Amino acid sequence: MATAPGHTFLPHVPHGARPRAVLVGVLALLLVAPAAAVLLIGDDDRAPPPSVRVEEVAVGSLPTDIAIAQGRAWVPSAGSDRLIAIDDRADPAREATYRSRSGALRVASDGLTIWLAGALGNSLTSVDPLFGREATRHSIPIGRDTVDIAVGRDAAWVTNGAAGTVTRVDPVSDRALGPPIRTGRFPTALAVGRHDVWVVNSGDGTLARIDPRENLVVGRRVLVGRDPQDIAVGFGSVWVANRGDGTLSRIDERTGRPQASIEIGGAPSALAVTVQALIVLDSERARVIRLDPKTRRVTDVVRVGGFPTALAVGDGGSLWTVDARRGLVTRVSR
Amino acid sequence: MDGSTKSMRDCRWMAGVAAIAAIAGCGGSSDGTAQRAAAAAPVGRLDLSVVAVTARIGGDREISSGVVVDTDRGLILTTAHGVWGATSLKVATGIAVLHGRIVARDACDDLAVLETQPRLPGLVAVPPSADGTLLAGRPIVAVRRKAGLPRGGQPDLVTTRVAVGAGAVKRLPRLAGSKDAVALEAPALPAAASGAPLLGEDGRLAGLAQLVRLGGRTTRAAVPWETITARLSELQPGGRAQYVGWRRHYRCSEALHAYASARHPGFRRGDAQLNAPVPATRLPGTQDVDR
Repeated sequence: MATAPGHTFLPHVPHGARPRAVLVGVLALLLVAPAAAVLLIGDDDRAPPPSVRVEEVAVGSLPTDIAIAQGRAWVPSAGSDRLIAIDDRADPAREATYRSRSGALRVASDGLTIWLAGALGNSLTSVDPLFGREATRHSIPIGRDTVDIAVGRDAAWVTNGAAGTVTRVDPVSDRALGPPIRTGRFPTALAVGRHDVWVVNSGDGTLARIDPRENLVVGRRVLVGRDPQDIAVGFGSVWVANRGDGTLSRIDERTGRPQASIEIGGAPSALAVTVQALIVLDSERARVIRLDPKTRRVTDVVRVGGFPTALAVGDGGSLWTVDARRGLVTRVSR
Repeated sequence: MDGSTKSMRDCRWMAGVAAIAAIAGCGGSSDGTAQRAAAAAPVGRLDLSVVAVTARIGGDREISSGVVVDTDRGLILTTAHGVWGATSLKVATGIAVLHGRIVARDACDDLAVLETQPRLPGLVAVPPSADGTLLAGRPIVAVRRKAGLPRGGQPDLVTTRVAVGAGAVKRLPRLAGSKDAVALEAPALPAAASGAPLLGEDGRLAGLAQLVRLGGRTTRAAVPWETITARLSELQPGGRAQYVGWRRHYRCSEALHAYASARHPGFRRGDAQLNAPVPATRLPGTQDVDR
């Protein structure tokens, strides 16, 4: 019988046993206990990870992205042109549906406002869901395509696709601030870092750095892997998912220098950062990978099935993925 | 050609067109539920194969058509002149309006390959025809999509009956054009159908429509799918994010520059570069960031 380490072991001494036998028994116990404790602790190290709970919620036709805000997961459904809210509770379920009216493909949030970017029209949409089903909706004219969106403390940033630019939007006045910033060929994704805004250009495989104080690209652009699709900032580094060659590029956030190229395999297409790890979504093999940023090693892999295309981390540390083909959102929790 | 043969050919022609029209969902079928049911699956396939491409070139809006050629990579074939110098590309599919980016251009054959962004599953490629269907007299239908969001339920496809001309091939104005291109007799086919797939009577791809509108006149031609297959087989993923293999066709780029300048006064040559340079900016205090 295995005994958990730390439990007090009290040997039962039969009544009338000789004191010498008791002494031998106690000595034997003192000799064996440390070894047993080491073995038990070792067993714990090799113990399988706690069981994973995978739950699926149907969200309709062609969900394309996901963001977390106000205890809910927000999913744009491109097929029905709606924004769907899923309650992040013990039993996740659809809670509300809002009309998008923008052909939304991407969603981002600053925790309160939901920002939508799509291919229909040249505008950005902000939705404030505090007003229930009749959510306040603002359409902000950009004048250029809105491919991806990221929200910082004082601005929302939009990539402009074929124009090769990034536009800064003021969330207070709902206006574009300054001229579009040229970053490279077809900027696909962007992330707001501690000091800078980082943009990955999937058309030429480069990473550009924007100084938000000047709204300009600073420094030379850094080459990343083939067909870069997503970007995340965390652990003092900028991480880029390269779908074309199955790698992650790691760039120092302070110096902008490449640090490493990490082989993941498959088609890494989305990234997220938690307190302890970098999360990578492999669309090709339908798996969510947890990567230790210190050792650069994969520590956990969870298969979610289907063809997942987007990833987000919930408030409680749960992972959310979006399967566009099956019209499902999957929550992975422990 | 005697009368009975001509009559039989006419019957076959009409039957072929009716079948393709039924496949494309344009209301050509008239004999009941069974035929509509039989055509239901192909309708869905075509709806997910034919796209409308809206490009903003020099401030003007240019609408053309395209067809899915690779579902895994989300690749779409269209005509190069419809997207040359585009600063915005929107691809209307049967499931959503997506962004597009040019990944390969063949200026000599007037072909361009677009990649949809985001790359989503669900698009379908139409299989090519096994034989050379682009022959004079054979039934051919051009299928194009209306631009904008899919309305749901009814496919937004428009079909037009076309024919291959028996006369000399007309050169596309200001463009080099494919040497294998044939003249297309389709007065009703608008310029927005440039890049539309041409389907044979078996419902398979027979070619691609190329329509050039310049100076109030529209010139119509078609490239056989055999030529397109040969061109596509030359492409392979490049070291970065483009597809390589069409370098030798860049020699015809000047013709497309000239065409775009004539059609869109606001066109800039820099917008037609696939890799525009982005000079590093030196701000006070940032001189060391790329050393």
